[in-house]
Amino acid sequence: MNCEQEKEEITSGLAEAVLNMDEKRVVELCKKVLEKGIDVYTAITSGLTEGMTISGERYNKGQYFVPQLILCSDALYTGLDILTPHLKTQRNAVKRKLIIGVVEGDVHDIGKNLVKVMFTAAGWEVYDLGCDVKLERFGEEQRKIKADIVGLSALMTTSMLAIPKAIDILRRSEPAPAIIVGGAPLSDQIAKQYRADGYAKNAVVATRVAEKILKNKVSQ
Amino acid sequence: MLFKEERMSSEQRLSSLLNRRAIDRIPFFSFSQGFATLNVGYSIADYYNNPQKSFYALKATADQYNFADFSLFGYASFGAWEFGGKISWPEGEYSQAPAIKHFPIESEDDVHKLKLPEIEHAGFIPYFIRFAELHELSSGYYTLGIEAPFVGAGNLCSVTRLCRWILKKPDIAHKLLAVMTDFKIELVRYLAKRFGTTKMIPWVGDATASNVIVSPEMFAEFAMPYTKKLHESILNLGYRHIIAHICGEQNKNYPYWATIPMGDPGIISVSQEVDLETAMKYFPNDIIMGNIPPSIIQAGTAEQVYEQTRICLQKGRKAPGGFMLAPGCELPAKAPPYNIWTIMRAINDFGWYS
Repeated sequence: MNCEQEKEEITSGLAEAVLNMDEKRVVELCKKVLEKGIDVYTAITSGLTEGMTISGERYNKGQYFVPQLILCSDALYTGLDILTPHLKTQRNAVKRKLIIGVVEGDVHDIGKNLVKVMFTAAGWEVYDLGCDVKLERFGEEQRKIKADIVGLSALMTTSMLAIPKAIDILRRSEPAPAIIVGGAPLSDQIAKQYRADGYAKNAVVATRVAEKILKNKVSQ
Repeated sequence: MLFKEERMSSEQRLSSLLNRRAIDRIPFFSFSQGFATLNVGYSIADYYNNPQKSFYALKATADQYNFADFSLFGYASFGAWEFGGKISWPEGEYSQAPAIKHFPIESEDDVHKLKLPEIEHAGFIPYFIRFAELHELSSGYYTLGIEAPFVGAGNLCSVTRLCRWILKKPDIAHKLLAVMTDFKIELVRYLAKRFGTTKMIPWVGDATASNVIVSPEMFAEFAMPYTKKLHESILNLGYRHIIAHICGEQNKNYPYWATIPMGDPGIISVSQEVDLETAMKYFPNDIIMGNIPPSIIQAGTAEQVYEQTRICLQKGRKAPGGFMLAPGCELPAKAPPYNIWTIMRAINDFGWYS
């Protein structure tokens, strides 16, 4: 087996290991990446995150469900923990930034955590504010982090009412980010009513929604 | 505008529906919780931690709007506090329900050590008892949120941990579910013994079983058998009806839910993600209840609420086992009152039986 073939096998093996929720295999292959001097960025993007992207597609098709996504993300993070310290810094510099949180009054964070996974897999720098986040904090963090996108999540009809207020706060922040919203009571229509820039029906489509918003912003 | 003259009281209508007799118009189960306490000037927390206020608010709100309410008391996170976890009452502007602050189960070891709590004094149960005492002295049906074992298991260890165990340690997940089922059976047995089985209708909801979270196959293995065991026990104790709140997107679980006994008739609370006709197909002998989207009640215009209600009424009235209009899930605590009145107006326009 030549060097290229081996590199390809390890990289695709990483994708498969994430997809198969096999943390042990991820560890073995990540060690090989480092031993063989394989480009870490490629191993992450074409291996680990590719596996997570495919698992997201499977979720969208109804082949995978949240238990599988959670175990895939465990495998992803295991691999990222090993490889990220070896990533060259200039590659980090071009990352897009996402701030994400569940709004004040709400502690339901499974959806938010999965959105975090999908953005991480897509190469974004993710700042997770957790759940029950005071609305003012979104503005404060935005001023510090200067994120491209802020993701707001709510799962209750009362906490949903915090979303337009958080959006008002973020619109006044400098620089104002694009805002996507998600969670059970929300819909495309309500997102528009609240003047969000986008609505993500689930974690898997959230990255696509964000990319589309940013693309439209650039072309305007 | 004037509403048509009613030929039955709310209580008569509900009683007739449960006894498969003809009724004058479609009743509305409001699914009120925090909405009711806010409506009479209390807080949302009062609904949960003050059974006296809750009892009064639910009755007063039902009277005000002419709801046909099973007075509902409970919350979806039930099960954590009772086993030694911690919850917080809803506070602040945006909270809707008690939230789990500390899960009693954090490891496999904890599962092996798990013991049933002493029913009468565990967590929220004294609040159930007080609410039941008040209702037993009053007229009308009431319903206590026993909730399904699967959602209860998630409340013990967190849904994320439960999801991991379903795939990695199914034996641990089953053990947790078995204990939670035993707990709920003990609770219902206690309530039946103390209050009888005539006025209280057990409420068994399951939000965690949504197909947004688990596959229908996972539902069949980890949720259905335990809910079935709970329902069988409830009916064996002498309860005639169960309200099953099949919460969230559970289209693919309906064939499995249909194998679970619901009572004579059972009451199937259908969420907005499931078509009422789907529910009717799987539960032809039961009362179908649903399914105005709560987000429309909260954020929609009166015209949208009216139209959604009309659609529900026109579909639901064909249910062979009977129909109650209701929101697909909890009535938003801060719903505009005019939207609630609009629901009643739509019933007046489209809900009468000839």
